[in-house]
Amino acid sequence: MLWRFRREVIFFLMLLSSYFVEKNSLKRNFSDSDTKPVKENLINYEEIIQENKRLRELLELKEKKLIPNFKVAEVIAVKPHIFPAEIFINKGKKDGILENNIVFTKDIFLIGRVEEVNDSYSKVISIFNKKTKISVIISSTREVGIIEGGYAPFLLMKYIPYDSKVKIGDEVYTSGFSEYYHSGLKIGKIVKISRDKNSLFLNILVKPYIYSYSFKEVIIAK
Amino acid sequence: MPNKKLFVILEQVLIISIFQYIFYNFFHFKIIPSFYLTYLLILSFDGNVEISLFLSFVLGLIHDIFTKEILGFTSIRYLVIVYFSSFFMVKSIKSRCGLIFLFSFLYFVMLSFLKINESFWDGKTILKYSILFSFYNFLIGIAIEIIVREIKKKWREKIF
Repeated sequence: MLWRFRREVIFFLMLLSSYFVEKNSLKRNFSDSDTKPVKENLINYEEIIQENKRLRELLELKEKKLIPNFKVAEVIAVKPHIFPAEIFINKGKKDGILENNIVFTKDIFLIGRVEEVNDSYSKVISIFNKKTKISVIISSTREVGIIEGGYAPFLLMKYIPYDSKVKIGDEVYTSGFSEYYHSGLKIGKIVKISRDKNSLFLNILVKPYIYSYSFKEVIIAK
Repeated sequence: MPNKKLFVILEQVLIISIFQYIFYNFFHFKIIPSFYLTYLLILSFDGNVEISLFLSFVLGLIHDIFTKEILGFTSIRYLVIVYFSSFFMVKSIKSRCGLIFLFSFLYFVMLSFLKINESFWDGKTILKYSILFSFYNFLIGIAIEIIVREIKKKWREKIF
């Protein structure tokens, strides 16, 4: 009897195992991070050199006082792995991370904000996430619009009047009118401008600077 | 010899893993074809359903390690796809590639439904990337089919 349903039995057993592995992976990921440097040291020197280089750049950022108070976190998981909408970092409550802290790259390109804080790790929602809505300003025309996620690999900018002089290649920054994001954070460049029939507004696609960013370390600031 | 089959599968998995590793590390495309998924589908079409289901779990974990995704997430998707594909036993390369395209499409679409929150991308984006991903898998499906057959042939000729 059991042999007849072996396919179903194996399927459910494996599915159950996958579910438990997934459930525990974040916690395991974090507990492994203490021993990780030793393991990596034995295995991959190139990776250590690259990491060192990235951390040096972050240190420069602190020395130049471009951002007065920030924390650096390591990315432990991304979801999905292309244009990630959720990023998990190895810093949490006990490291002083708070909900709605802003997350960006070492070049001060906006990644997103902290949505959920646990003791030892946090969840960040990126600008690619459908939930993201940010008030932004266009560098050339100083017009204010709203940027929305959910259109990966681009972001959709709304509420720019159809007679605007905006052009392809213009930069987009945060305006400071959002609840969570302060002004002047670089988001991306405009790549496409179109208009729906009878609409008073333009549909603008913005290519974010984090388009090809490899998520390894991120900066978190208030 | 029962051991022969094990060796064949081990060699196939090793070669497929090398290809997958090369693609993940040296090709910076946004959409990377899944050698693992294609191989698992071919294995399942061959009638090796139990092995294919077990490998779905193992290769899913390896995939998550490559891509830094949460461990186990890909295994679930592989398992669901392989389970449903196991109801199709097809022999011709044409039909196999067609099914690889279809199941790759479903696999990618599933990505947006298995998330904790609502879908990350809009329908148009999901459709665009699903088709691209399925097309890539369709192409590598032909290559994997040839590799798999060659390995089988090689082992068949070997005398223990």
